Amino acid sequence: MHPLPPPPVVMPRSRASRTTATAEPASVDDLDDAALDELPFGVVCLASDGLILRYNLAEGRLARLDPSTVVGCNFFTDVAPCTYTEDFYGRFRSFADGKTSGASLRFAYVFDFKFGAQNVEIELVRAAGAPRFYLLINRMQFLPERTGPEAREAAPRQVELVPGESERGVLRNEFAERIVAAPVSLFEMLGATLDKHAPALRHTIGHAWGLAAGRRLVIELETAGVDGEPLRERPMKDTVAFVSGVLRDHGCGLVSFDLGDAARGVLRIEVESSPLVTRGAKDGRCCHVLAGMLEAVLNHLAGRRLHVEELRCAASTGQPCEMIVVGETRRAHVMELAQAGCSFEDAVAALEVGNGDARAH
Amino acid sequence: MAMPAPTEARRPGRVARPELLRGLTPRDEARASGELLGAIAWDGKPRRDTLPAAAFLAAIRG
Repeated sequence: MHPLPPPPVVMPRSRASRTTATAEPASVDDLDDAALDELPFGVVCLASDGLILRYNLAEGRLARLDPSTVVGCNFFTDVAPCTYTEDFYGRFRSFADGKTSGASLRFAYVFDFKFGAQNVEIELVRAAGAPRFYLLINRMQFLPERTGPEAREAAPRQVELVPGESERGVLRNEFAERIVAAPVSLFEMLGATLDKHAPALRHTIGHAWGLAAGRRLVIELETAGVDGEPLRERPMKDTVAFVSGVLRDHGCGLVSFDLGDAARGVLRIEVESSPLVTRGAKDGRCCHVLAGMLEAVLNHLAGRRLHVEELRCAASTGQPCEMIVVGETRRAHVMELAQAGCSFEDAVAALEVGNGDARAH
Repeated sequence: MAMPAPTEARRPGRVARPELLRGLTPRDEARASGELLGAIAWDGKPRRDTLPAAAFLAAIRG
């Protein structure tokens, strides 16, 4: 398996905030769209006239707008009219026109949405050598909708920005993400197709797909609208309970994190009612996508690469699926153990006896 | 969270109600005793699962 590229570098702010920004804000222009979408804070790239050039996933989720539908709109007049003020647009204008010196400018602001207001901290960044400007947007506090004289014109909802979508067969969830109503058998069909045409790749494709989906899930988890610290700074038991709750609400089954084996250098994850369990998987394990998703979440929390491997699947045992979490350097070893049908206890024993760390790629 | 003073039952290495733990695997026993002992783990330190997630996951080897 090819090693996956590392996630983009994100560093915590000097003071507590819900989201984080890049260590070197000017480097944000170097990130491609996929990397921008992995950042857990809002990023909007503007031309000097306010036209939106780039709009990342986190901002789309927090503003409840589909990024693909706002690119090309004017940020100040079409998408965020609450920013068409001297305090915001005036600063931007001065910065974009070169009347404000420096590579970046920071200020606090309140965004008005129809679903609530948000206290934000803005970092306005000049792209090096190009007439582009980035808004890095840290959410500091989520507030009720403002209705008093201090309220500004609220941002439009997705349905107002792009009317008539449902008539064109476009479904969206409450965060304006486009969704598809599909039966869970879609996964079964995909698994069967992989088993038929590329059986050796089922694990690789499923796991990589899950990792990509998990990186999106991380954005959702970190922008869930609950004030407080980043997930990685919250108590482990609260964090895993929150993750389990979100996965349950998504229909991913009941994911239980067993933290009792941390002293042995591993974690155990149990999944009841996994939607990925299908009949007739070639090696009896079906939940590689879910393992990849959980791995992405744990990577984010740990700030390093871990590996989640399914050891036992309900597809072949009727028992809840069982997964093991190890460090990246134990990945190859634990994959071998899983393919050999090792139980969790046997796998942990083999890792301890075999000094799994030394078997790293 | 305020740390209660160790009592006889909570003293490191002791189990509050050992009869509840019979027949359990070592992992279940450790987990159950952790629950029984509340905020105090075997070594008298705060339970690990109250650590920040990043610090907790630093224990994962490899």
